[in-house]
Amino acid sequence: MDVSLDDQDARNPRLDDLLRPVFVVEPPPGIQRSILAAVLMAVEPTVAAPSAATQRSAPRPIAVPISSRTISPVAYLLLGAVLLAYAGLVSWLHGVMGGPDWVSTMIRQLLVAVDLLAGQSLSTEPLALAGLLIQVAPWLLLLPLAWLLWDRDRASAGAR
Amino acid sequence: MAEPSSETIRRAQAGDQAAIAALVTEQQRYVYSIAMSLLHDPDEAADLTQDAFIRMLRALGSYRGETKLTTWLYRLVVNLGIDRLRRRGAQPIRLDEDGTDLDLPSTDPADDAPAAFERDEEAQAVRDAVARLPEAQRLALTLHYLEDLRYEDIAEVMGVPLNTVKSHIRRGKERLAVALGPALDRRSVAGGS
Repeated sequence: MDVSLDDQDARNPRLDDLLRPVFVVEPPPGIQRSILAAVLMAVEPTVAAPSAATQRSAPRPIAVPISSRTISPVAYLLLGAVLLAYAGLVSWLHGVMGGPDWVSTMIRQLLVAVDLLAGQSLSTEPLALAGLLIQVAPWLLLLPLAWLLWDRDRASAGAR
Repeated sequence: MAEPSSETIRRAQAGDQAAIAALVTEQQRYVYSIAMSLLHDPDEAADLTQDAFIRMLRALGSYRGETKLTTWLYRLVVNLGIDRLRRRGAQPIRLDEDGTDLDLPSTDPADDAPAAFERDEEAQAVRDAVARLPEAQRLALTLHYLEDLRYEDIAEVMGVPLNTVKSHIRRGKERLAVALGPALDRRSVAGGS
């Protein structure tokens, strides 16, 4: 260490006391936490296995935006209307081809579907049951779509 | 400022989250201080601190202990900071030169700095005086005040010869001693009484 510098240091302890807090800056606690969290998140899978990629620019941790899209009640109403219209169309066609009027046909189909799903099954064979369901009430094929939309809406609401 | 233990480094290299957290927590204030010294902006300094830690930890697997980890880390921060300043279009920093003589505050008691002391704004006056230092001197002094950092380490971090580091620190202190003379006198009186 340089002697003259040592001498000067010895002459200026007050200067050091005055300057040190200005040069050594503590980041605010919130910033400290966010830096630590971001670093842990960013390096978790890569520390143990460095590669050439480590020399490249490190991507900044990106906060994955949580989808805020929700399905409006209008969409549910529209979906219900589509299901109803589809069931009505099928029932009407059934009526045109010689069956009873379409409202009765639709009600009968709904009852059959309910009976198949919740009541006494006509068949214990899953494939046969599914085939029968589709044959009797083809609009039930749209139910998975309705369930998918409902589930997405529920997940989105839960994430917020 | 303690150098992380070899056990902490080894565990961090193995991906131990607790060791990584300890390493970041221990070094954060020093890395942030260097970043602030270069960028003068708390948000940018925080961003640079985060970036430096991520890069260091991603390259940690190849660290073999040839140099002190802290020296390696601080050098990374300095280089990243200078890169940012360059991208920002700022005047290039020459760490091997003293830099432009900035407005040295006068010792005239009528000037702003002593008036600030009288208004009990000593800390702000010190920050102002530090901000007026040439970059190389400010960075050298920042590293100097990171407690255990030796002049040789500072030279390695800054990538300049040892004598240049000594010159930066001596000149920087001289400037600040002049600029902060009244504050030092008051401390002397307060300490003596």
